[in-house]
Amino acid sequence: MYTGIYYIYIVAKNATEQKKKVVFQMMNHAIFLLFSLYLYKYVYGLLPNLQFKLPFPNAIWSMAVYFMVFWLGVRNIERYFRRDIQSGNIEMYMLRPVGYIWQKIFVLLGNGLIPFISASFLSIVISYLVVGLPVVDTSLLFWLPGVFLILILSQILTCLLFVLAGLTGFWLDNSEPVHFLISKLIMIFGGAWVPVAFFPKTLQTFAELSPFGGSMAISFAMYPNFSEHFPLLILNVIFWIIVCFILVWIVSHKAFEKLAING
Amino acid sequence: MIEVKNLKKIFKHKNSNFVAVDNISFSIAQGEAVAFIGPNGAGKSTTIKMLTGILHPTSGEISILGLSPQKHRKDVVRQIGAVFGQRSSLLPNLPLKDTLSLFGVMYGMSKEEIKERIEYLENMLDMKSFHDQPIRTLSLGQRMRVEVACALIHKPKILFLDEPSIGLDIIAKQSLREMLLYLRKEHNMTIFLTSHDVGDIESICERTIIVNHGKVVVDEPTSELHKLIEKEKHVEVRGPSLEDVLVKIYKQ
Repeated sequence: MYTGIYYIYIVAKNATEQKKKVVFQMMNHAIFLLFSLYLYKYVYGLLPNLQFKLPFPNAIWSMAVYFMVFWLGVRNIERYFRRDIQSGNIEMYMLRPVGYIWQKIFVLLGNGLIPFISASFLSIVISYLVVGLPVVDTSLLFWLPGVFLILILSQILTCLLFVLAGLTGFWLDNSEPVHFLISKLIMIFGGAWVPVAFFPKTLQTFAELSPFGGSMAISFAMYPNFSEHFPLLILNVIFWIIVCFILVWIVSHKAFEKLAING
Repeated sequence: MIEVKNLKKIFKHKNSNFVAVDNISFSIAQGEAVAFIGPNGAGKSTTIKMLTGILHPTSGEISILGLSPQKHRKDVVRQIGAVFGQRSSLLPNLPLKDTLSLFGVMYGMSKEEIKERIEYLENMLDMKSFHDQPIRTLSLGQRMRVEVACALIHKPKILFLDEPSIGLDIIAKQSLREMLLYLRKEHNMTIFLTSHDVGDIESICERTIIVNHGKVVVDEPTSELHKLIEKEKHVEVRGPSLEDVLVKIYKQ
């Protein structure tokens, strides 16, 4: 536990030495968020009936949370794997008494921590100032811890999905197409392109119950019928975490036995 | 300390198999310094990677301090150090203290132990003059000293070095050799070295194993190697070598 926290701290320290990069990333985030806000406002103006499917503040919060989570960069773990496998640098990590996958998770969290905290602050402030709080069917005392729990679990699931994508690199040499596929499935079923509330009913259920939708469960947590959806969201994410964890365990053992690095 | 029996590694490609290491066997006692040399593609790096638990052998047995590096990778890496000359473990934007502390924490050392060990390594490897500088601003020779410090932070019993002097100038090479000799003499450390640099081999290792096409072709004391090819003996009296002269000029 202490090793993990210290690892994340040192990587975060290394990453934040480039302060200008973090400032630029946050400027990007604010501009993107404000631009999405403007677009949504325009669409809701054109189609006022959308309010009955998904209230405007909830659509904005759902989008803001999606962008916020994006900065944690969990999906980058596949890129870390790919870079290490292709360059052979994976051997430097294998020489340490901490598992390779854990080290990559620590590196990922260390690199994403400061942008994520900054983006979360910006997302919350901008969304609150522009549209207020989302409309939910429960009290904030239940909603906030529920959202936090879903955030943590859905990020664990996303991480496992992209670890699986990265592990395919041991066989494919280049796992980029797998990353692309998973990433796009998450975008579609996570509601990044069109909010899932606007999907046909059957597709909406599939999106919510698939691991791809599960990995973006945080954006579903912004919907007005939160307390009705909460147990299913949590159970779904936990189910896929268990499935993916078992798969990662099996595949990683095979992958490390297969590792080949030239001189 | 190191036991290798009938070690074999075959890399499978689409249409062919490449035998990188072909049934090699050897053993190394505690405190020995062994050079493991051969031409490019001979199987040196593949062997060192199997000995350190990175690669899995196709067949054969490896025992490092009585443990299999593949089955007990974490226990083995706690007792060995490794420096790969063409790779880096350092965090570019931070001073050496941070990377060394991270390694210390990974090896389960306490804060006090880490502090003492960093102090000791800074003195031993002459790193005091640049200990506050970010790693990215260091010269190649200085960086290599930090890499060696990372490999030594947890007081390993065996040190594996894969072409550690690659790209270093003669001053940095000499300083690396002096440091490795010191480790051998003062700490009875076992050293397993692969290098193309004859100076490294002559000055550090008393035994040399030569491999070619994945097989051991020679395993002799380093001082006896010349007898394998010499038929006549010549006595030659020389002044300092060009390398010695350059070292003196650079140092002045």
